[in-house]
Amino acid sequence: MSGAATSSGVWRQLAPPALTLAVVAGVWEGAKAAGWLPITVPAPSAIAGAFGRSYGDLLYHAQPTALSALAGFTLAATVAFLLGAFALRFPAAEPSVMRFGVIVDSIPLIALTPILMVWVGNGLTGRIVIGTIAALFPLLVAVVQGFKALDRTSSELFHVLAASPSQKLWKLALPVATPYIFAGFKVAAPLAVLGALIAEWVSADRGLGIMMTYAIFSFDAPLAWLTILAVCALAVLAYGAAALAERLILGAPAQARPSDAGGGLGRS
Amino acid sequence: MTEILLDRVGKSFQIDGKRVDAIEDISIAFPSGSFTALIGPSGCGKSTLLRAIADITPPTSGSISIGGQPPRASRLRHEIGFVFQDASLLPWRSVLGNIQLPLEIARIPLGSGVQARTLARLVGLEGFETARPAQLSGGMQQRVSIARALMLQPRVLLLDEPFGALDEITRQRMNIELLRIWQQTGTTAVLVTHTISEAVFMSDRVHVLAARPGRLTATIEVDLPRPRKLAMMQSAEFGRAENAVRAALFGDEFIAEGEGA
Repeated sequence: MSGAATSSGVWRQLAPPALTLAVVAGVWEGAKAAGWLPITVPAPSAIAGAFGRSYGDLLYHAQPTALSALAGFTLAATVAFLLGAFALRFPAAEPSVMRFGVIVDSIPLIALTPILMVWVGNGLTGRIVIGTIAALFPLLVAVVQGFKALDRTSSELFHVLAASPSQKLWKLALPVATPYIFAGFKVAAPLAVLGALIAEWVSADRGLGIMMTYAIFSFDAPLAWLTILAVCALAVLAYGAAALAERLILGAPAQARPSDAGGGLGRS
Repeated sequence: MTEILLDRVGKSFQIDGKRVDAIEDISIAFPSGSFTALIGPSGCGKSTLLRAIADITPPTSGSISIGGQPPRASRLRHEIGFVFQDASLLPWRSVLGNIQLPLEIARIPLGSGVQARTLARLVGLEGFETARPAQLSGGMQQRVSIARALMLQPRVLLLDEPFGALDEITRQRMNIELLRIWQQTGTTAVLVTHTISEAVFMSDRVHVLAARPGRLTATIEVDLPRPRKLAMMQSAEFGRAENAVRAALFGDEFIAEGEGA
């Protein structure tokens, strides 16, 4: 009974996006058949054909992209946490930390990447660094704002309890900041994928970025579109992973509280 | 024996470049194991005074000692229990987890000394050990906060309008329970309140403060036996003490109205 209810619930959740996708694909296919679309825009069936031809290649190239993105994201989260903890310990440093974040975020990656590749070589390191820079700012904002969400009384409580700065960080500031940090994760995870992609565009021997450039320069429109869709899928997957982690760690929202009248006064 | 000694304590703040005196020259001795109330209108600096004793915001003049030591030393030795106006529990921790927080921070093994479960029972939260703060009523949350303040068996228990947000009935019950707990622990308690009957009912001595600047205007001894019972609120001594506090709070106004009647 409950199983049937659950599966119908899943169906109800999946039906609208699936239906939308089918309608868009159908209209697109029809428009292509009618000759309304330019040669650079292939029919969905052609993209599906490209997938059939080269899903092996796609998988082969998606792996390093996912790896760079994951490593860049992890590094960005670490840097953001360290900077945030520094700003928490020394509140006077917070504006400087945020300014640093804004400057890093404003670096044009497409220009920085070739320079960086010359500097650290065109291996994984450079791609991770670009992924890190791409994902850093939203994570930094999330951590700093999250730490600022600390209320005064809790801070005073930890002061009276003579907590050390690290105890205050781990037992108070971090749990308070967790919802903010997860919001930052959801923004930053797709950005790390895009950062890794840009790095691969400039220089890589393997990766979705390089596959995309090959496809474009060999005028293989269906393959180029396929790689675009694959990057989208990877970015959505990254977002989904962050959202899932949030659900698993923060769990369901708390239940309603009873009133004092029903609160059962204890006796000794 | 004196536990807490305030010697000509003053506190001034800078607001918009101007010096504002929150407290001026307050000297009070709190005897060991006593229950004392500080009462006064808003802005009389009673909370500021309590926070100075707890070394949250140190005074700008005068000195404070707890057991002969400066408050900072007492705080670092975990000798101060503080109950805030709002329970300020950590919402991601259970009732027991919140009560145990001071132990963790003082790096004392959970098994030694007073057990968090014993304290949970003492404050009447048996059966709620695993509940989250969000599942508790305001009164129950404040019980957790009291248990937490008592976890490390502090020399002094400082209460900053702990039941201010509760309804009158719950508040009266909580007061009786607080007295029962206090008597079992033997700690020196200081209660900040702005309710006259509460101050008299709870305390051995009530210090009345006036505002702008905050200063001590009267000290009223309450000569009622312990344990205190609700019925004592109808006694002559209770009425006398209550009137004395009211007279100290309202000063000339009180006398003028009394003559007019």
